[in-house]
Amino acid sequence: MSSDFYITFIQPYAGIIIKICRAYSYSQEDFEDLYQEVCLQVWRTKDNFRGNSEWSTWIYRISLNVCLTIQKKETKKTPQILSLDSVPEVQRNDSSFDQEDSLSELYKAIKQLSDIDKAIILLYLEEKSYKEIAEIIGTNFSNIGVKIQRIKNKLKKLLK
Amino acid sequence: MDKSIENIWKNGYVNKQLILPKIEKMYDQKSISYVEKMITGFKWEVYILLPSTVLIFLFQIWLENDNAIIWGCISSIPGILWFFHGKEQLKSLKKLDYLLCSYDYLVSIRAKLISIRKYNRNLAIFSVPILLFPMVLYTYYNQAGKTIGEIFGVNDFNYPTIYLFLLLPIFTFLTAIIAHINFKYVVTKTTTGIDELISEIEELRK
Repeated sequence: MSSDFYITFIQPYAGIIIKICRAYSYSQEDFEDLYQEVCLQVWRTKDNFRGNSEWSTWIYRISLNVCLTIQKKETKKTPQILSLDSVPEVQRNDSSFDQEDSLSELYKAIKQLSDIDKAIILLYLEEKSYKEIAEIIGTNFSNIGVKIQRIKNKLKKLLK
Repeated sequence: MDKSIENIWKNGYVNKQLILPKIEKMYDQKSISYVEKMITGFKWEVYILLPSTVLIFLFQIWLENDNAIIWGCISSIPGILWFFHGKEQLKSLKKLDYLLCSYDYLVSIRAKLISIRKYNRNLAIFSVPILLFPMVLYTYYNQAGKTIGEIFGVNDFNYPTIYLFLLLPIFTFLTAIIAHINFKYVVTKTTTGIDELISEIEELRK
């Protein structure tokens, strides 16, 4: 991957990758490995991008695919035990501590969802339309709204 | 304060400068674990030699040859020698530590692995005549005056024992073919994964 490719096609969308990888990783090391794997996969599959959707949608799709695939492999090896300490950190400063703390709690709750629910809620929180979510996940568009509502209720319970 | 998940998400990332994980070490762990897998495969090939030599020994006894134990011991020697030799090769592979970067590591492992495999292929081919020759010579003198058919209990195979020496080039040729096929299709296949990783890293470096 040339640095040009990284700077042009990955770096501007790194936020997407970080947010998704964080939801599917259980340690900083896992998180970094996932991030690297996603970047690599984006680079490997760049020629498959036909331009039918936005590049960011492509990034979401690749990120989720990589995370779900690796998650599946890892789950087969060892079941993950979740603790608050295990939530990977993203840069934190004092002024945003409260927000970061709530975000960590939210991530902790998201991690308790099923893989697909996790993907749906992440895309919803990223303000993707129901149509885009359905496209990325590869599911029926009509069910997305109901599913999101159910997932949100589940998250609210988990956050209480 | 609104504690909806949408707001937690939005505010959690607002004004936040995200630290991007470094990607230059992307291949390090991948290379190490891939090579570890290959070394484990090679280890199996070496350790399988021990039970094989025991089987060869038992096979000689089962044949109920004269001096079966002696012949059993003699024919087990190459397996034992190859086992210790293989262990040394294994050590030399493990000595290649991950020091600089995944690319150098993979290139050195690949080169080492191919040189080991080539050496083993040649060793297998050359050991056939070396091992067969004393056996053929012994049989030639020990069974003097008999035909090959009489020695091996095959009717109408009335060739003189001097023809036994033809077994040397025949078996060597057959071993060479098997070793060549093994090298081309099995050994080369094991390095394909490394080749793919190497070419991917080269592409990344462009």
